[in-house]
Amino acid sequence: MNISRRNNVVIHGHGERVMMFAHGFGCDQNMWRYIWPAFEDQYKIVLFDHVGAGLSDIGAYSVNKYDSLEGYVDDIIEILRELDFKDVVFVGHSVSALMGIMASHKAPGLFERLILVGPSPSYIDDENYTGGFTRIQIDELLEALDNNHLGWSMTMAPVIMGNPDRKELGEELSNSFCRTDPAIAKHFARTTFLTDKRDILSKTSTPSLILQCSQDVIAPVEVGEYMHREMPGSQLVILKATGHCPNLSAPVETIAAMKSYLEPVN
Amino acid sequence: MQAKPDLADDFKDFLEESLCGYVTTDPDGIILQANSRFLQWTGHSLPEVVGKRFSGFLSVGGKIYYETHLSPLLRMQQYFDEIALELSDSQGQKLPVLVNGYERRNEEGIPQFTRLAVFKAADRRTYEENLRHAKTMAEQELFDARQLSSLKDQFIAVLGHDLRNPLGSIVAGSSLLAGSGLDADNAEIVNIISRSASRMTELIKNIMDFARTRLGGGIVLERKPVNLEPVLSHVVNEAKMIWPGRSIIADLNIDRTVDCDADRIAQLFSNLLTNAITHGTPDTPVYVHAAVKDQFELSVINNGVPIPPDHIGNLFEPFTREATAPNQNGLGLGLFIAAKICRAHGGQLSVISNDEKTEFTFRMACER
Repeated sequence: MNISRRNNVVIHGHGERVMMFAHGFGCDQNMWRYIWPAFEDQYKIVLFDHVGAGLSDIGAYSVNKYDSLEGYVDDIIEILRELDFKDVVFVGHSVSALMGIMASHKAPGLFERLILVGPSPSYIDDENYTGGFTRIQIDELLEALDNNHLGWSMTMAPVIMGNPDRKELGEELSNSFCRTDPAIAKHFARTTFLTDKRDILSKTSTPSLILQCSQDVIAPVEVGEYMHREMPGSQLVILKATGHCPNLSAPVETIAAMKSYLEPVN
Repeated sequence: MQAKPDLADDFKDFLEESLCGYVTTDPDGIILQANSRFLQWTGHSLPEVVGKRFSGFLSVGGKIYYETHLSPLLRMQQYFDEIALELSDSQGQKLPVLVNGYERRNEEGIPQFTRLAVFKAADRRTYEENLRHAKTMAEQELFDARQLSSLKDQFIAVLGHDLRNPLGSIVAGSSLLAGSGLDADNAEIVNIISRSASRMTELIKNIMDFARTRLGGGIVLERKPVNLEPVLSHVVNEAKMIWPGRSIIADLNIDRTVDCDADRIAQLFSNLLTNAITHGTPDTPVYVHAAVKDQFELSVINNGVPIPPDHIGNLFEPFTREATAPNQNGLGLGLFIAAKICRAHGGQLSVISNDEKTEFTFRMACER
């Protein structure tokens, strides 16, 4: 199996140190386009698409493997091991932030630091925990996924075309972002929103930065504060940015927060 | 002079009272303006929606989809088209909609605001749901039918096989008894047993062949050049034994070999003969003609009620005889199997049926 092709791994930059960017649910590596250029002088940049997203190899998708986040976590570890990279600065958005935490447990020494953008260990409200969604809402989501109620099939058009006779398809593809196979997107949604990894936070030893948006319906401020309380060696920055994707809506603020974490002014 | 209608005002009214919902948000997705249609659909007043996130008026799936996919998409490609979402009103009622979005940017490419056009799509959603429902049902029915069909085929194959062994004992036993010096009455009884067993052997053979052809195996031939005259005469003699009261007049005129599977040709002939005997008028003879001219030709002729014209077409389909003559014994597989054997040999099987006679004719080339 060609890991680089499977995950559409793209490497930029010439730095000594390595920075890996992991996109979250619903997107692909394009979501980092405003962020990584700010670090390519000092870092080797590793971008990739999760299997099922962007230009990854859809053929590598397995319902069994990706039925839990572990499947994605293993991919992240494999990518870095194949490149022989260690002490990596891992930048993960949304559910991929959680994958980074999980990978730091599974492969100690792989990451030097974690930068967690809009992370959440569990999306469902619980006793003494605000996840952002009630159990009823998540059930509604799962039902909507089952009934194919969401218009995902419309936008998440065929990713895999690879038809050299029809160039216009390729051109269309290069102009489109965040494509996902609809069946995979549904499965990923299920895997993501049913995950509860609150128990591993306090056992995480890799230092981390939590970048929390001030108004995020997917991961509300309470979640960022909870993670900061639970995770030893974590720093919390509440961004002025709203929404779930500050890397797109507020790249300048996001880059500044990352830089001041990585290169503190003495 | 009449005042010109104010186009600008008219257009403003058109946007406000449109059949579509129009929403303007800031670049972060917070509502700045919405028309009355959108407010009507969501069941809110303008002050209630301004300052809220657009995604907050969607069902939970749509909310997640908007924040994780559509919002990034707007920033990366500036638009999205025909996205199926659901508006959720203040009572929790859901309205299926299609949404087009566009991000307005200034000359420096800085996002200014997002325009969203919301179209009602309730009928379309019903239509899509019906389609999906129909597809699921059709898939399930196909699956059930396939399972049932495969079960039937297996049943027939197993049944045919299991019937053969006990029948072998009956045939062997009656043969031993026949040679053991019985009195006339008992000899007749053994004779009946023996005839019935032979008839049953043929029926089982047909069932097995039927199952085999249905299971996709087809009829496999072992062809070699053979003189068919003794083969056919044996079949005639067997038939005479099974139906001693019936007259069979055979004219077998074969002076060269035919490249065929002799056992299969015997089976084909036996099936045609059985068909003629069971359907022909009992007190009239069944005629058999066999000859080799340019090709091998075998005809079986009986008198009796002609086959209705509308049954000729599916005569060689399985189980069709019950419809024409419910009181006849047998399974109605004879002609079906005969046609399969004929086809495997590359031959032709034709039928003429009128008030005078019913004649089945099999023709095949003598050499391959």
